Amino acid sequence: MWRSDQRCRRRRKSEGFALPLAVAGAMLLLLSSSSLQMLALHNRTQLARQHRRLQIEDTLASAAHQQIARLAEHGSCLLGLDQAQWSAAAADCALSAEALATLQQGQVGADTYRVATYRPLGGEAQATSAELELQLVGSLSWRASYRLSLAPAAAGLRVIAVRELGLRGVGA
Amino acid sequence: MNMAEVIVASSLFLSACGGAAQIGSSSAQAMAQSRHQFDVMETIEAQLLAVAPVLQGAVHDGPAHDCGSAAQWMQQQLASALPPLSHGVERQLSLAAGGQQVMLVLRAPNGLRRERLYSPVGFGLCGGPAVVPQFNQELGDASF
Repeated sequence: MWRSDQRCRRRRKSEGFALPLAVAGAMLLLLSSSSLQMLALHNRTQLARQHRRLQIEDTLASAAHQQIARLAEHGSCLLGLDQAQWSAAAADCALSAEALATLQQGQVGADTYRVATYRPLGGEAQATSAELELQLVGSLSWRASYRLSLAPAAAGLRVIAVRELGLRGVGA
Repeated sequence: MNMAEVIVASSLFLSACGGAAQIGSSSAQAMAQSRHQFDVMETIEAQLLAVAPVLQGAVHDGPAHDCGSAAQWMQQQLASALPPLSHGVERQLSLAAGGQQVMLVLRAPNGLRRERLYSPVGFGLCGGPAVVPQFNQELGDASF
């Protein structure tokens, strides 16, 4: 009597044990595989974001080279002057207001940019370098800076090297 | 433990195993793709980083007034001296802006694409008389 009672109790204890264990195991498996997938998706998103950022850097670097070429061709006498003085100096450089406005913005592919800052360093007349900051015109107006190395030339100054200073964030 | 419970529990666990294996394999595939994409991005970046050293290390006659011929020289130098490509990346060098600038386009089979425009003016290769010697040191550490 006592023995059969014990057996019954043991059977009752083991009943309903497999299902919760299976549910817990299944949940564990699905959670761990889901977190692995989340990690993979995060990696992909990070790479896409990094690629987009590099493409913005490329656009602005191309814009810097385009801008330098345009300044060398049409506004070499502006290379030694701060951007704030360009309007006053335009007449001396034989530049019309329209030509000056054109020199302060441009287009690379589908992106439009503008010269946000141009500042010669080390004295305007004898500037040995200058800082050029360009800004994309659009919903996200990324800015990037460049250091230009300058050398004296027959007509003022000329650019001899460009160094990237990197993205400076999103401008207003 | 009755038979019905064992059947339900084992079928539940097995289907979870199948689902987890499927998600795991797709995650592993995505990770492998990301790794490959990262390698491709590194290859492209290496090409772009090599541009300035290639042009600064090459012997040029000195700044020319004609930016067109300087751009052609740049195109030839870059075509011959840029590091070899890997991971199926393709390189295209062409003259742009009426032959006054060089466009470098790097394209990967998975759709990654980067392009940059280079002007010989930015490397002191045209647009004025000879470079004044004291600026050569500054040019040495300038990179694009």
